[in-house]
Amino acid sequence: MKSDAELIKVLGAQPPASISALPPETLARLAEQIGTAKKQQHADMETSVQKAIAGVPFAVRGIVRKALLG
Amino acid sequence: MSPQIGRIARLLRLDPSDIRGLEGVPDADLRAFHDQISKTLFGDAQQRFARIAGLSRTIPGPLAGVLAEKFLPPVMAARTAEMLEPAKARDLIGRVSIPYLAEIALALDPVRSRPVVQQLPAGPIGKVAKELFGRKEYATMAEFVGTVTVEALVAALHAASPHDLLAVVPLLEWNDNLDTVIAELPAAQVTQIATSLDAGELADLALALDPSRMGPIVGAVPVETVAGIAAALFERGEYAGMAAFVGVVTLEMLHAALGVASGRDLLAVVPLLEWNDNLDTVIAQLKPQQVTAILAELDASELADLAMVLDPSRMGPIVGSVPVETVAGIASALFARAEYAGMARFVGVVTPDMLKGALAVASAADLLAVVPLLEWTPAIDAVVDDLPDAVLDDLFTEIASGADWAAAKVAFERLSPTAQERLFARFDRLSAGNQKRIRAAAVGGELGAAAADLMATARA
Repeated sequence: MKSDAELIKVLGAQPPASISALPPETLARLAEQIGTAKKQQHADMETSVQKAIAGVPFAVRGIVRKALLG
Repeated sequence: MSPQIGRIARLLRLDPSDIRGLEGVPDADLRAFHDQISKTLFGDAQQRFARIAGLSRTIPGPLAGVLAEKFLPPVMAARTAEMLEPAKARDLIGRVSIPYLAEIALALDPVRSRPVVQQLPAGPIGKVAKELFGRKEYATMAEFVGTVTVEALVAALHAASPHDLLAVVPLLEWNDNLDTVIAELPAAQVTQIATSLDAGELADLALALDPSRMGPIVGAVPVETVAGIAAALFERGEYAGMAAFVGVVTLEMLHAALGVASGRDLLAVVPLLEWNDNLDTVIAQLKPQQVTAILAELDASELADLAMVLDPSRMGPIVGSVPVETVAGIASALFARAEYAGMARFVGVVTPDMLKGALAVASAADLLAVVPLLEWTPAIDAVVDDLPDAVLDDLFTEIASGADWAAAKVAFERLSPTAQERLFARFDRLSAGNQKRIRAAAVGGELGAAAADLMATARA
């Protein structure tokens, strides 16, 4: 398996060649850090969305809910 | 560390020290990598951010500002802001707090946000800049130089303290807007910069700013501080950086700067200078004790280097103080390097005693090479007439054995009749083979008419 395979997987794209050429342990650490940030981002986003829907004034709650949840 | 690593760390909510191993990656690749990470973190939510941005069209501005600050974390607000209609962004910027705006600014992409940021009023941007300067977010701020308008740049840099400027200027990618802003810094701010930074800090700023851009600041630096700046730059060996300022500083500043130069500093900086009248004046007015110190510090070879990089007509004050024995050392060094043309330039500047000292260390081959290059004067005649017999013997032997009659003719014809006669009077001292060669050349006219006449006289 190519050493940047995990990074490509988490990025969903081929990183610049100078990044792919980094040592395998650096690539693995970057892939893990990005994966963690992605999970955290999704969790924060959902928390923010729920807080916003619950917290905005009733008058605008409908359009905010629609904007946030689609 | 590249500011791009800081941006990646911020995106991943990590400390930059946690992002190890990217130090050697080019900035352009780091920027592309940052964008890839941003896409993977927020790509799925792009539609959601677009819809949030769309809310600004339906929710009244005052309420939208309050709700955004309360429920939209800055990183998400930044993604949303990049999708706002510029008019809405202009309205919202005044409805949220400066610390919140500063957090959004840190998360914004300088390229993607440009269309929106360009429409924002300068006032709030100045306030955000002040907040970011307070947090020492210089690298991130520097990224936005190409993003904001000139008015916003003015507002931002007016919010900078002298030390903020010192920190941010080296990070800036220069553009025309910055030129305009630096040229139009208010006098009070320029004075504050010039007087509140110490000499070492001003030296840093001088190296970070192109001299043509430092003009207003340079003009405000007290002359006594210039000596300190120059001393700091000389100590760091920043000769090229200093040389660039010669055309910008005043005569008094130049005096102050060169007044703290050691001999070796001069040796290093002089070849880099674009000469002007101020420099002539400063060299002409060097204090005798400084000239003495330079001469004491540099050895003959280094003084020879200095002689070669200085125009002799500008060397007057230094040349006049060089002891004759030092001249001999310099001449030896230059003869050894075959710098005949360079040496010949000094004939009109040195004293007869110096000329004598210099020619005394010349070999016959050196004399033959340098004599044709000299601008002849009675003083040179006097010195050459005074050359010892042994030198003339060597010279004659060199002419004979070298058999370069064209060069020998030029050199011979430069000699005074006295010297020419002295030379041919010593014809008998040449070896039989050399006598034969000289005779043939002289009779054949290859050494010129005077040599032919002298040869005829000698034969008679």
